[in-house]
Amino acid sequence: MTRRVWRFVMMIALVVFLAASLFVNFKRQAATAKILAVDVKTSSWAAAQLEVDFLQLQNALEVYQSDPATWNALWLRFELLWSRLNVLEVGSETEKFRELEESRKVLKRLKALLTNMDADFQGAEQGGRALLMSRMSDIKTQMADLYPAIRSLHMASYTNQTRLEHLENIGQLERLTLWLLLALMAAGFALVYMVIRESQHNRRLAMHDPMTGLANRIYFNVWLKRLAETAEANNNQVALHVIDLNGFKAINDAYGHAIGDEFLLAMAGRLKHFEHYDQKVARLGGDEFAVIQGAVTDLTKVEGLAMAIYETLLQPLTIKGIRFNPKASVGVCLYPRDAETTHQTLLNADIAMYRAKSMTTHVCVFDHSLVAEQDRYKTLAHALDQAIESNALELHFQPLLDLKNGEVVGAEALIRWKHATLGQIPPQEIVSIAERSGLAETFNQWVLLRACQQGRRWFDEGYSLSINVNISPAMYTKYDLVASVDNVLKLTGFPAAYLTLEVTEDTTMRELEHTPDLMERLCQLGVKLALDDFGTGYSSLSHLKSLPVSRLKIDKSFVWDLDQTGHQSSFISTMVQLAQGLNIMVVAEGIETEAHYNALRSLGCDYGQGYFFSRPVRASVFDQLLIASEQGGLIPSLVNTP
Amino acid sequence: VNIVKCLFFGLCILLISLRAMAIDFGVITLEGQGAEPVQITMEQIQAMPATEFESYTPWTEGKTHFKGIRLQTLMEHLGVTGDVIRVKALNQYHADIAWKELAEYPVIFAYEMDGEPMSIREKGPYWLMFPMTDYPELNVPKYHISMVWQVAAIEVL
Repeated sequence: MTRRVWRFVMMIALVVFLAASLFVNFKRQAATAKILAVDVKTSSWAAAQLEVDFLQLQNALEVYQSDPATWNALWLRFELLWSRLNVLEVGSETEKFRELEESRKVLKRLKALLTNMDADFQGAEQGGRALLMSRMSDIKTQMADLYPAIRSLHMASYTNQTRLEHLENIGQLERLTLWLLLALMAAGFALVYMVIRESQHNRRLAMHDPMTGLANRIYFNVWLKRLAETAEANNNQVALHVIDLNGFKAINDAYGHAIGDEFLLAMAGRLKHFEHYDQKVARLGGDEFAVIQGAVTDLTKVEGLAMAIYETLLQPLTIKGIRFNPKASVGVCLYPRDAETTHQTLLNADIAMYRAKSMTTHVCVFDHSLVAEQDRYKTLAHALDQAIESNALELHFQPLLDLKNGEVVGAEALIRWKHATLGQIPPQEIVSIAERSGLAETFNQWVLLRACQQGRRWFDEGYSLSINVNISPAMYTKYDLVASVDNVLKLTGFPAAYLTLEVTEDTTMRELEHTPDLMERLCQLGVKLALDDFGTGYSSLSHLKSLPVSRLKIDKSFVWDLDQTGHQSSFISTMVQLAQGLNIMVVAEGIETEAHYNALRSLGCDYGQGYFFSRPVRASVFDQLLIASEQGGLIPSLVNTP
Repeated sequence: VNIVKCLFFGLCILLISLRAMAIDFGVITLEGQGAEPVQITMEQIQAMPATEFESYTPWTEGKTHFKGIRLQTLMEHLGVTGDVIRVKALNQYHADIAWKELAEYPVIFAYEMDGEPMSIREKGPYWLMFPMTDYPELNVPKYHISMVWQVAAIEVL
């Protein structure tokens, strides 16, 4: 701010200086011109002419005295001296002459002399020349008396102090003018310099993101176009890497914008290392960055750079004592291979980046199948909002049986959505669409509410069923899950102890590491937690130890492998033993045959679910299952046994 | 009566002689054009169309009325073909003038100032006068030095 004020003041000062020096210079020049015109020409010239005319009259008198025939010449000289006197007495040209000391006195004496001589000359002109002759010596004496004064006046006009000062002034003025011109030139240069600097500064501001100092979107577009043109000319490719920092909003929300900004700065700093002459880094906005990789001939180098970016950003960092594990998704698109325009290149890179978010290694290079995926996503994201509103979504329930006695002890709520044109949408996709389109909270709330409402209905009918609900990972980090659950429980009056939230190992567990107290708070509500797909993800036994898990669901792949080798059974029995040791109930998923059922039962598995008993069904069908189960009807072998 | 006659005769002679003097100085001599100098008298000049204007000058007080013959007219009358003329004064002052360049200005050889003929004392009988008030661009030193008074001769260069 002060810099701005300073610059502004400097500019104003320069302009004022320019104006002032111009004005002064103008005035000085005018003064010089006047001095030159008036002083030199008039006072000196006039004084000289006076002396000449005076001497010529004296001379003519001498000549006339010896030769009276020269009367006409004498008379002309007399008239010319008169004329000179008149010239000196009147007018602006001889003003400076009249300012000379003594000049008035001399002119007065001259006039008196000429007036005195006038009568004699007029008389002589009329023929009385004898009189003039008789007066001649008198006239000559008077003129001789006056001559020294005229001579010294002429001298004074040349040597007098004012005139010398004037001449000196002219010299000084010339030097001053020179300096003024130099100063003007300097001021001019300074102004030009400042204007250039200012415009460079403005250009920089317009082209760069003020916070990170990286190129902004405008500059990014310029560079993308430039490198794209170069690529076309050289017959190679430009790779555009679009980078999104996952979970940045959560950092902002949890720690405030100051920390958020520092986090962004740190990430920008890491990205800056990827900048060199044909590689440009830009901030596209928010937590989205881009790296343009020019002159690409080798596609492995593109993947190499994408991975390098990804891995660099993933390095943990500490800001003000807070430890962060940054996450990023990188989407890559090649121009001209994957897109016809640079604009399309950016759109495609974005698509790839969104795809990357749902991949284990968050790096995705664009291919055209992603466009179809993207179109499908757009259609579904739009439809999902309306589907939730209009209850076009449905919950199906799959019974959970006690393997010892075949009793239905619970139900897993599973989402079902039949889209008008695209048909059945897989649950996984519904969840990811909800998360990407910002509908996660609404969607999960809907699922929770519907599940608890149904649970409450069965409860009222005398069936104390535990209801298992799958919650999407985003709910644990981005939204207030505890408040959501609490709210639904209060709304439906469903007992918390019967609600089980299923936590997926690979996705949810990692989110939970950052918010360890969340599980505690859920448990305080009385809600139970089940560890889903156990044994497939990045399972860690420490999760079992540190988290308040009350159920462990063995993944169906272990169950299906039971048929082939006896090897798998020892896996399952180990898991069961481990769970029992920790006082955790074990649920087997994917029981499809009687053999599965028998094997798991003998291995000591507590609960089971699978097509052998029932596929997920509507609540109304589930009611019949409940009735059937009271007669042991869900287990075919039990039905056949009276 | 004789005395009266004598006085009358004397006055006549005086007038004639004065007139003769005046005519002497009222002649402009044209030199350099052909072998012999040509003379033009005040009568001849006054017989031609006159031009008048008022102007301030650095040598007079207040606005002064000038009447005279236009430079252009005189040059054409005298059949001057040369571009530059040297205007000479009784006191041997002279100035060189490219008269054709002044065609658009009514520059005159003034013979009357404020309605009176001009004596030598009053810069007469002819004063080359530029209309400086009507044409301020003429009010510059370059033309100031060209405004020759007491004009006696013109030499075609």
